[in-house]
Amino acid sequence: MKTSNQISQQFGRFASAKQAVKLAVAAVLATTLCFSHTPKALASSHSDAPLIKLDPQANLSDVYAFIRMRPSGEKVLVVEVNVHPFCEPGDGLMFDAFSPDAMYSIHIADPVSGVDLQRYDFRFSAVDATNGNYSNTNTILRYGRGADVNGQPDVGGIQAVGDSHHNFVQTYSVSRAIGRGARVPLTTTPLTVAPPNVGPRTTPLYNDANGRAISGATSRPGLDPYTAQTTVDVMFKNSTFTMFAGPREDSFFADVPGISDLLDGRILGSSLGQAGGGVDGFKGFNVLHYAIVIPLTELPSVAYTGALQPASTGVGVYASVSRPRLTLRRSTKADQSGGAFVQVNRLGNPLFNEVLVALADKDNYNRSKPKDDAANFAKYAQNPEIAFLINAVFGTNFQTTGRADLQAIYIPDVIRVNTTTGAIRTSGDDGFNRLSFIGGDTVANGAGTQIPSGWPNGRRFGDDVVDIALTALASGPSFSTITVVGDNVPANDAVHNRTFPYAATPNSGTRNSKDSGVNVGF
Amino acid sequence: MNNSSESANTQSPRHKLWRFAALTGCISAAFAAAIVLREPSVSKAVVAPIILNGEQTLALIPSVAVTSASGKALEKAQGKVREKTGDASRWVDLGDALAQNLRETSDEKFYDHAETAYQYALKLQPTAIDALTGMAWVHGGRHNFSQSREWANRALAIDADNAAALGILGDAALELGDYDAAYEHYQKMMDLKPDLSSWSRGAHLLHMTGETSAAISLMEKAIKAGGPFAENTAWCRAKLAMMLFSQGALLPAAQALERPLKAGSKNIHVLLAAGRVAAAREDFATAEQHYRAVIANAPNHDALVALGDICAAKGDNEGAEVYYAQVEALEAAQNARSGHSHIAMAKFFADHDRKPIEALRMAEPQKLTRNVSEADTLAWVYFKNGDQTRAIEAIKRALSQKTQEPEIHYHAGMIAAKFGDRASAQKHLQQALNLNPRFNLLQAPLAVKALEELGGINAPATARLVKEGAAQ
Repeated sequence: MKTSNQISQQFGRFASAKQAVKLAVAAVLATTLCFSHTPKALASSHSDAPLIKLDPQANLSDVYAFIRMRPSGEKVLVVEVNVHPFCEPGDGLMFDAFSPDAMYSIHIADPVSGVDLQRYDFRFSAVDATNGNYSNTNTILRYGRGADVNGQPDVGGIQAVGDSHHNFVQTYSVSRAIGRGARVPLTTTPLTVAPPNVGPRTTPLYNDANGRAISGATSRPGLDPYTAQTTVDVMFKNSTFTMFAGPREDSFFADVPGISDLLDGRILGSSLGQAGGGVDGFKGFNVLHYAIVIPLTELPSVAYTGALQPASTGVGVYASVSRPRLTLRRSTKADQSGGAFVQVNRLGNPLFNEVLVALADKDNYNRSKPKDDAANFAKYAQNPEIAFLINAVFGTNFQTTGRADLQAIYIPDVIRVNTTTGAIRTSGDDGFNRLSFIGGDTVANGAGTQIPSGWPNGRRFGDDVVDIALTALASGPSFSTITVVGDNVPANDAVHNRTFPYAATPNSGTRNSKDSGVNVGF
Repeated sequence: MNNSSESANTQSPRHKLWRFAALTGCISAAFAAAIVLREPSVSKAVVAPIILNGEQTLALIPSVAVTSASGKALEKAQGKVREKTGDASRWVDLGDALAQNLRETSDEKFYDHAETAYQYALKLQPTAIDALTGMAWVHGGRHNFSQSREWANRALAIDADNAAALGILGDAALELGDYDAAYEHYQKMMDLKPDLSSWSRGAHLLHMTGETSAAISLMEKAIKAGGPFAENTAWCRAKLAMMLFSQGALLPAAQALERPLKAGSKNIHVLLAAGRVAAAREDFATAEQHYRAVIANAPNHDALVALGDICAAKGDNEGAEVYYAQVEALEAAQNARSGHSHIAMAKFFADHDRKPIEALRMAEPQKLTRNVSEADTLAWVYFKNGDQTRAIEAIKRALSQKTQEPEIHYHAGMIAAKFGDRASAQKHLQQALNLNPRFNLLQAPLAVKALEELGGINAPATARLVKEGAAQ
């Protein structure tokens, strides 16, 4: 396991006087470029919005936030974030890594105003051969071959995270800012990013004898060794935070192909077809993932009125990715970035920017903060175009204006988590229902009132947010009769863990459910 | 009837379509009770020989209590026939009234009486198309599909656009697992007669072929369209509730049944559905109340099994055994009368780890079935008999339509786990539990346990199992 000087150098780089001079030059160059060529390419870009689609490494796809209990009995908030949708598991030989010049953040916000109360920033080490943490750069393999041993090539599977076969090791650090205060490091030494699941030869310990990823651990000792070794408890003052970063299986499941095609008839159509159910458009893909477990004692507590949960107390959660204002492309060495961070992507509740916000504002959404959502985007929640579209295609009569119910969920766009409940059932736990309250899956809050166990109270792995959202769209704002609408994709293709990290083990590059034939079983 | 604007009579009662909504119910795989109780002509002896005259034939058909709308309709139809026994159309109306009473009571003797009435109509007028479709319906209800299709095709030879006959052909195709043919017949029927009868059939087919969201929407449309009898929408609501149940949408499932329950419906499909929903919500007292209402007049396989399961779930194994013994007694009584074994009984044996060889004997006549529900039970029975190869082959057939029924995925998961295919096992068990974590009082906890055992690195030695499996 290497600890990397280069990494701390990189993080400290912008502070040095020498770098400041370089950056000044860079700024001039970049400004010139901005005005002459493609200004927006250097500005922010966005998730499922036109610009972020061009920047996959910064493209957030899902945020999960829910209350659990450690084996010690300590209550914690789990926040897990997916970024970079559609990572191909077999994308050798490089495989995806976190962007070293981006800042990946988890925000704890006021659930009413959307104002940031805390921010946890994840920053990652270099990936290039000069600055990155490599054992051996005289090979084509990022994974599977380390430095020569006694002059002999050393090729084989990774037996432990950071061993010589784990040739490229990306590391990261996490810091926290309270309110508008300065960032304070939570980690004192760099933490290791889990390796990709290359396949049974290179990363055997991720996989079973069939070469398929092992997941579904119910406690930390049940995690595969790579995941266990990269799931790190960090003591900060008197609190233990737990962190993880690395590739994971894409936990989202939805018939997005069907929904995108002007709502394919398999959603609501009344003519008979043999399409044979929904198609999980995310089946077999991986994502990059960063996650943290925060003790409730470290969190603020704010009173709010949530959707279907009156008189609540808790926090709002969202994620963002920011990039430095400037990137200097250089012909002789790695690119260099500098300047203040600019938010290029943000994500709170599922489906808001994707399904509700119109094209005109999708990029604006990603540049803006939740505190301004009421002013900027309330109209999209109140008057959902998707209801109009469904009515137009299927002749339904869903309410298209005055949707106070959707506004309560989406404005400001933070996931509201009631922190007064006990531990929440998660996917795989007895009684977990993917439809949350619609399926009768509720939990008592601190006052003894039953509130939804899952989204829109927090969001759990396995919550079928597409079915919940479509059903809410069809049934609200009164909910006097619940009209169930769904996409016929009721579950993820892999089993989530029931311990942190809850996101499933990444799909194997050689055997995954996206592939056909013997790879997928039945 | 007056309980619901849904059931406003927008169609002439002369339309013969309404009877077919009930047929789908009787043959519906989701309602195993209907299947286990299906007896080919148990009381065939009462079917009238054609040599009887009108009065004699009419005398074979009993009166029923006129407290219900369908009872009144039957009395009226009998009166009309009595006035003029030579009028074929009056006999057809009588057959239809008897069919409606079958829907109301699920009493299979009405098949025989309806057949008597339709046969007499055909004696008077061999081309009476509604009598031909009536005969097709009777045979379909008894699962004599080749005869059912024969009668339906005779009707279609007279009128190629006869919606009722198309519906019956679709029903037979659906039951035989020929979903492509069912799709063609039903689509044509929906185009000709867009109403409760065709839409509820279409909805059922959509559900069986994995498009449950569209199925729910279409069934809601059918309910809104309504039928002439409250029973027509009650059946649709029971079916809708079971579709929602398969999705784990327990609150909407309960909502779907509120209306017929408030109106005091005695429809066994409504009561069975209400029992399942209440039990899944762990309201055992209400569930037991519904199930007891089902068996108040006659024993019912599904209700007895469910009552036993509630006892077992509460830890009262002796109480459960009392009900399970009644299930077996009911089967024995039916066997004695018809000499016929039933796949629902095979499922009962497999679910409760009883008489695995007897279960195999009952299921194996269906070993070539393409019907996904039958294939599912077949696979489950093979699994319980340790026949992995056949179990996998059958469960693949059961999964072939991507039907969103938790039990199919549960069975697939258990079979895959035993075969050492951990990823498939996890996938299907998770699918079952995500669809409805309370899909079955006794089986769902086993699914949770199995999924837990498969998770993480401490799972059973998958490598060994795989190699053994591969060697077989």
